[in-house]
Amino acid sequence: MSSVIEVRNLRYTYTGSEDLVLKGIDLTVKKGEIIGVMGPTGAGKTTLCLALSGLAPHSIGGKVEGDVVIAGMKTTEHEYGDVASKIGIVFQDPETQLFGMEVHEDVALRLMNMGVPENEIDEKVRSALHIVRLDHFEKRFPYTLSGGEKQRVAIAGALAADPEILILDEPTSELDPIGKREVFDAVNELSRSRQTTIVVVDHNSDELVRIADRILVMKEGKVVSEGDVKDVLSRIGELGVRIPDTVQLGNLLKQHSQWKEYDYPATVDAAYETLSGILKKNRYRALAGATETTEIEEGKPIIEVKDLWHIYDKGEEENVALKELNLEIYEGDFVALIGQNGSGKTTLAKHFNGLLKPTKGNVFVGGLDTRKTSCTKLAEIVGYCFQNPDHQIFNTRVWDEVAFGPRNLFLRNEQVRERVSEALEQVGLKGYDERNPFFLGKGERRKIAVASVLAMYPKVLVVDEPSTGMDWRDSTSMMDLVTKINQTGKTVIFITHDMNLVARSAKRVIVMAQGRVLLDGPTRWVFSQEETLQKAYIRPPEITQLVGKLNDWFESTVLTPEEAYRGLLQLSPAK
Amino acid sequence: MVWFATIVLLAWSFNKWEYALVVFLWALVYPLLSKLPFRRIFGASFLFVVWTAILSLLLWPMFLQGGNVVYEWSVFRFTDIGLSVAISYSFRVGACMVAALSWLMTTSQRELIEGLSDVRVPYHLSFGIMLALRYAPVLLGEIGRVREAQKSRAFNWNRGSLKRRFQAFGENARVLVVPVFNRMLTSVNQIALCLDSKGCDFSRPPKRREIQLTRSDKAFLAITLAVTAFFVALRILGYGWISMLA
Repeated sequence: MSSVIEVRNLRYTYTGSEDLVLKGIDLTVKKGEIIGVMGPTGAGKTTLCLALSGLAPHSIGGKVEGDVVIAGMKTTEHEYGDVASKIGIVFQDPETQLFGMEVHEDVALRLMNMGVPENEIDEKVRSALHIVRLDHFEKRFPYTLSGGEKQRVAIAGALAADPEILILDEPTSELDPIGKREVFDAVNELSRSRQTTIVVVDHNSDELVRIADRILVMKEGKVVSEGDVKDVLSRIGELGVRIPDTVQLGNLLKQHSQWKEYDYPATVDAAYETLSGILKKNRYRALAGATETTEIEEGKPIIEVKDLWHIYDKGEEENVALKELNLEIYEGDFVALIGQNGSGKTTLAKHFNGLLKPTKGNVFVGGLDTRKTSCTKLAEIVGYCFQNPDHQIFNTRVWDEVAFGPRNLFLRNEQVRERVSEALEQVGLKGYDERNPFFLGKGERRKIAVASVLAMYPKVLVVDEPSTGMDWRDSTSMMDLVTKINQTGKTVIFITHDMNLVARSAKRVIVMAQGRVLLDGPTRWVFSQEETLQKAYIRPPEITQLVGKLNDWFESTVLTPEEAYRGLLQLSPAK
Repeated sequence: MVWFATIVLLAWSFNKWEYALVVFLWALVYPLLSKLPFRRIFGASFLFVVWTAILSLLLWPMFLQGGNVVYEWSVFRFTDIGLSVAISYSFRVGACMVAALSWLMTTSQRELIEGLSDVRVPYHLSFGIMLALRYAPVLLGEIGRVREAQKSRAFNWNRGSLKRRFQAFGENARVLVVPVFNRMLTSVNQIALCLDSKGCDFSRPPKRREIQLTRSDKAFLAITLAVTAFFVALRILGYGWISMLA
């Protein structure tokens, strides 16, 4: 197969900066290949995408050294229009990529700018929408689409011009699991049916390894590992990249000779084939497991939800966000709220601090009826950390930002000082007082947001999507922080789509679907209810799925690769 | 666009409430024929009409003192002319709003840009207007999220006396404006990059499309022009207007 991307010793510096962001990248991609690019935040992945697409330097400027040759054209020596005709690029945030009042306009925009005859545009738009499985969406207003649908429209917009190469820069980081799966399926189908060459940057290794032919791992502007998915993932170690559970299991098992045949399969199906083969061949005996408990550790209720209904726009059935909800959250609980987009998780959480008031029913927080209590008063009991810290940061000093909440409670200056110092220390940002939050990384800004809520001494902390837009190292660091806060006796409720984080941290899981609670119980028990979870379009962590398939040998539900590893070591061959 | 222009012309031709009501009802014909979502068009217009009516009823009678006195209290004097003009204003503004909404909801972005370029609006400006319309709900969503985030930290925009609130206005505005502005700047950079990636060149507008009018389009256009001509003739003959120079 001929190569369509040739990158030789690529070095790139942004305008106004002297720091090299890409430090000598070499890459060759063949026609029809799917290349996955992984790496921690700041590794230069997005810059590589911009350089491959020709946007760097044609659109954003900067200094490019070395060669980027796309379909035989050196990007720095050709007009951007010529390069762009060979490439489609899709970015992280679907919202900033859709400009039209109708889906058709968005998909057609590039074709119109290329001067494609009118009679061909409609056909190409229909064909592109068909590939991303959005037939008959032409007349829809993009703002009303789900995240996954918007991103697929953006992909269709890039595909309509029939590019030889498609570059996707973290296309699924803001999507729920179903949205992620939809996008990756569409990309896979595209590569197989049209032989389009695809470069995908993503933190989500589970989905990426399912479709990628090769993986490239970057760190600090360099390629640190490249090759076959299985080989690369088994070698990369701690790089801020989440390694699939099945590969982590391989890393643990490699020290034991009886498991050496387990050669780092990257998907659940492949891992099952390998493991069940070994277990059958050696006639391993089943391991008796305990029945999962359904009991939640009950304490003193801090939040009581009674017959709660929430209707966003009264009178229209489809806007009923919560239906007849009843639950109690106890002091010291560590709860994960999970479910698809639109299942009602955030709507429910916003009732806890009075941002939303019940349409029907009641919510009691610390004994106070939220209908009759102001949001300001409830903020002293429930601290709510929003998904994006940029929605709240407005001060140019970290200290002022963290002091904002306590000052709104009209505390004395010395009390404010004490609380700010304590909160900054708790989140690991001691000494950051004078730093400007706008110049810190997203992980640190997230911690400032948590500190600014902690400084109000809430009894309950609600964290909305602690991992969105962050690499694995920042995500786990945030969850470690939240766990530490829970250990101080505070109740923690976090909303997430990341089942690995849930499995590692939460004591209790509430699964929501269509405005109702579908499951509520200890994490292990909830993840053992595979059939019910499917109704909420939730898939347990890969390791849970894998061990669930090995039910001839395991009866217990497993939540982490470490647990699976310990279980496998306990198995013994039949004599 | 023709529909919107004729409705604006008619709305500002009459200030007698009976005539303004007829124009308002005429403005409803197009969204009804186009089967536009009733709640979106009428919900937004209805509130607007009600608020305009309340403001008009409070303000106009104070300035328009001509005609017969209907009600008098202290320094307030409501005359039949003042009330008629006040009511007509709500219908006139409401008609323009219905026409604008139905125009935007039935016209594609490209048709709007081409229509604006017909009236000599430069391409980059008309594209900018379209982007602003597209991103209006996104911006409102961002403002809502920032307000909620600050409220969650016990920030209360309406706390304290009016004087104190006024004094704290600068601080309050900063709490909202800085995060919204920060989010907007990030989005604008991203949008610019995406537009470049789609090959947008504002110095070279894309090729125009031939507009094909169907028979029903032509019939509706003819009826619109005929009705407009009829109303304009009425206005020229002196109907539907109260002179405010009492």
